[in-house]
Amino acid sequence: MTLLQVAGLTAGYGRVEVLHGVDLTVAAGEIIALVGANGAGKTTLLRSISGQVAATAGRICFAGADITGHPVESVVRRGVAHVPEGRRLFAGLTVRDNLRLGGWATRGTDIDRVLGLFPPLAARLTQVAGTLSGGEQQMCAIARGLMNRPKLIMIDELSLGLAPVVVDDIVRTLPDIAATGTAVLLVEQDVDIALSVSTRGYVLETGTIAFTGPSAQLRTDSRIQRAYLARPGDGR
Amino acid sequence: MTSFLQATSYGLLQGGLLAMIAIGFSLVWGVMNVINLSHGAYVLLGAYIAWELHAAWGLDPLLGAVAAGLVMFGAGYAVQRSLINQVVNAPIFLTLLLTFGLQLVLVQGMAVVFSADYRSIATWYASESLPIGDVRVPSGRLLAFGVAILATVVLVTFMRRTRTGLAILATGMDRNAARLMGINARHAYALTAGIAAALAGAAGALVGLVGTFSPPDAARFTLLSFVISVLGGLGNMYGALLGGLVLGVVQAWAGQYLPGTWVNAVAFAVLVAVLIVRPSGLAGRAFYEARVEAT
Ligand SMILES: Nc1ncnc2c1ncn2[C@@H]1O[C@H](COP(=O)(O)OP(=O)(O)OP(=O)(O)O)[C@@H](O)[C@H]1O
Ligand SMILES: [Mg+2]
Repeated sequence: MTLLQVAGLTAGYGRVEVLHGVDLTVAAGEIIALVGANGAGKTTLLRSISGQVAATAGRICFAGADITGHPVESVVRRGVAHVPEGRRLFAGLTVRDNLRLGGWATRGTDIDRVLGLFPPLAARLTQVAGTLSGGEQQMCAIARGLMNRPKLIMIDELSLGLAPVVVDDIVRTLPDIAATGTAVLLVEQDVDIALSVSTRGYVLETGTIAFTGPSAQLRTDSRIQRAYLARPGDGR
Repeated sequence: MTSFLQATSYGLLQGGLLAMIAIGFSLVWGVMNVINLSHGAYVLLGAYIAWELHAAWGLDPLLGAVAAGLVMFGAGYAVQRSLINQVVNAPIFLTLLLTFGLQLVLVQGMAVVFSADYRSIATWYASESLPIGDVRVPSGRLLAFGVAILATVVLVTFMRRTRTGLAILATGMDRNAARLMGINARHAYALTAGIAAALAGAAGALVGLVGTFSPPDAARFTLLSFVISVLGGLGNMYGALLGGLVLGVVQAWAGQYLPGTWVNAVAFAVLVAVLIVRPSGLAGRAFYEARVEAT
């Protein structure tokens, strides 16, 4: 069943068009990877879906309703969670208060459920979020997004600034999240990780979808290997 | 010695009231980055509401404070929603101009409606004086102080413990992230403005209980709120309480030992001195340090 359908989406900032007719679908419970070079428009696409950037053409449908042009709050209430680039935790508040705020839209208070997905947070509930380690901050940001029991969680740059082992830990929880019925749309610089955890993938190049298909297939595609999959020694 | 203690106790009591006035100003500044120059006029509106209720039905000003708080909550909410929300992301110059204009209109309006005469709300108990050790304090001031401290503590608890309070703080820290939680930022801002106006209005009723007031006092209350907010550390609510007490005491001492015209100069001298020693204010914890400006 299609949960999210983006069709012919055009969007940008002021007169600068960033997305030029993007098509993308996410089915319920799926994990989808969205990859592409810096500045391709990945963040802009997520921001359009969550209602922070206005579409100038095209449609966004979610759970059977047309949500194009809806304000952020109402998109969130319909079941979209957006974990923004840079996490954007409420740095001066405790982890518990951050999680409580995460449940704002649905009056969700089941903190234990999200702690089950991220056990390290359980010991940090009374700690001020700004003092968490990078990995803990990302866990807290994802946990906060899950408090509303969303149908879809969009995670922007999961691995940003994190050590590889920490990234592995967090990525390993994505299938668990999907298993609870929450689809995941993952934006990731680390194309290898993104394609290994997802079922399907999209490659965004300067505002248009250049490739899409099953992740296993994309990983072996020579064009994608050449452009995005770093060989040893390349760094990132 | 007695005169020193007398001045100090008077200053503390007055400081509690000033803190109650300033705390909403500080909250609005911290959450919305708006310096509300019409804040002092809200204090006087509250005073006139309580005065009218007392004149018409003999309503006690302590109950009048509740009524003034409720009315001013509505007024503050409506002004924010209809007016200030439109410019909240604009350069601060624009909000200063808008709220300064509002202050002028309100002060002029009050002068026309209520005249510029000094008024006070007379009660049988306000000037009964209670002996505490060597000093005597008027019971009206003591009551006003108690109410002011209580209101401040209730506000801080509300902001820190309740869902709505947390949502307001979160919106102040990172408006876009708050919206991603489903929080309606415009509503959160309007609530903040309403709470600030309610406290100012209720404090105005207490001002009428302990002394006299007239429309031009609005500017002085705004100015003191500004000084106290900076003293306490921007947006820091307990800091504002501390700042109010300090300012009240310093002004009382200045009133006791210096010629009358020095009082305001001393207030600013204290402000400058504190800012030199502790740039982030007396309480010294910049709560909104990590604030992210709306994009
Ligand atoms: N607020 C903004 N105002 C104007 N232009 C913007 C804004 N945000 C992004 N852009 C531009 O839009 C384009 C796409 O940016 P976007 O952040 O969506 O890319 P991205 O794929 O997420 O990149 P990255 O991998 O670096 O995060 C860029 O050219 C960027 O400069
Ligand atoms: Mg990005």
